[in-house]
Amino acid sequence: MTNKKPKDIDEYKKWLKEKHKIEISNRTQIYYESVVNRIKLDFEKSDFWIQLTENLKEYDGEYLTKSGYSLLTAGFKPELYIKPFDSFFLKTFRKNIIENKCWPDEPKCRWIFPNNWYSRINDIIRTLFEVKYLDGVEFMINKIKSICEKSDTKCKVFFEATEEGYYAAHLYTKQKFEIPKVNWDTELIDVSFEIQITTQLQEIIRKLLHKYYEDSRKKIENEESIKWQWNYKSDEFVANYLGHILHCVEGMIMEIREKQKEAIR
Amino acid sequence: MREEFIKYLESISITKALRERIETIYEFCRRICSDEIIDIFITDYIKEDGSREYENLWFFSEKNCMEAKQFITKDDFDITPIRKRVDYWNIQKQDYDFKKATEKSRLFLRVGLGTVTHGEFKAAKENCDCLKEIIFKYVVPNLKE
Repeated sequence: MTNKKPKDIDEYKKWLKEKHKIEISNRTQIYYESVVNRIKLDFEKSDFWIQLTENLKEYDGEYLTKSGYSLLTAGFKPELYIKPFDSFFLKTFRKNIIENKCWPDEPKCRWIFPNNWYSRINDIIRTLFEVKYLDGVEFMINKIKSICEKSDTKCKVFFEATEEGYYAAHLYTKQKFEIPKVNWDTELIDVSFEIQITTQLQEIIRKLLHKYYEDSRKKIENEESIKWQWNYKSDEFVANYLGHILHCVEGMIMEIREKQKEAIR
Repeated sequence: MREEFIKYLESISITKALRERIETIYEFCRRICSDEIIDIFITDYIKEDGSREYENLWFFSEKNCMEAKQFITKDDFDITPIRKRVDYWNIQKQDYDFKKATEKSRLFLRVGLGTVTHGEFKAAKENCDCLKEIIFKYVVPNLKE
């Protein structure tokens, strides 16, 4: 068992227990929730978050002045989401096992275990900004980057474009937090936050696709299976291509918008 | 709310706003618990800057114990029978002699109630004395025979 690659979550739990003496129980989940809840509360009170949420009206106004269109949907208020334990644990399974090219040794970026996982999983707390138009994604990214620069906070940006038709920008910023240990102590750790910025239309598609992402992430890839691009009867075929088509349409909308602007001039 | 509960909350510096929240939870727990609630306990710890953080709220009756996890922000409640169900307990302490708590005292208790259910209690400063009372009133007498 110990050198056999775990195929699912149950086997992964067994492997953690037998190979690394790590027991994942109901207690692990309760502790995770108490830590992450603490982090969320502290993040809500952070200067970064307060400034970002307070500036939204100003950003919307600036974008409107430049483009003649609104940046955000009316009344938009960003919310902070906690990654549910099951989804968090699944991510460690993916990083430690499914995507580990060094198996049975540890992955290049080291094992992700309870002693380091709050710092290593970069989206335990995340938020989502839905913008109305494609260029709003980059506009928002630049605004958030400037808040990070002002507060001397490092951030990384990735413009995601996956084969499965997922398009969004992800910005990661790290901050230090004091979290409770299992007993009475506390410790200072670095925690990453994920800020997703996507368009309203892509978000509708993302919600549709979510089920497929979650299911496919739990599986070890079977090389013999037909690629979804060839399986035109599958739900993924329609849903994933819809993501690509929408991205293309959103680009076309931008082009029309810009042409109209030039014509007015 | 019972007079002794209010005294306890004052002893661990619970604010008026939090007390109101606790009262609401208490009323709910009274409705779901089959017998009278006779004790209260709040798990807490001290941060590096000396500030106090409250985590979970517990209520005890003779037959049951109830937990409101992360009670300040969440509505997540548990209730479980306690009579003669304690099959494991673990205590960790620091600067505490089980007599009189000091500013430096810390106490941690983990209780197993069968294979699936368990409870964890943290206490800091004077709250250690309250947790000690809980241990002797609800844990020790309820050890499984």
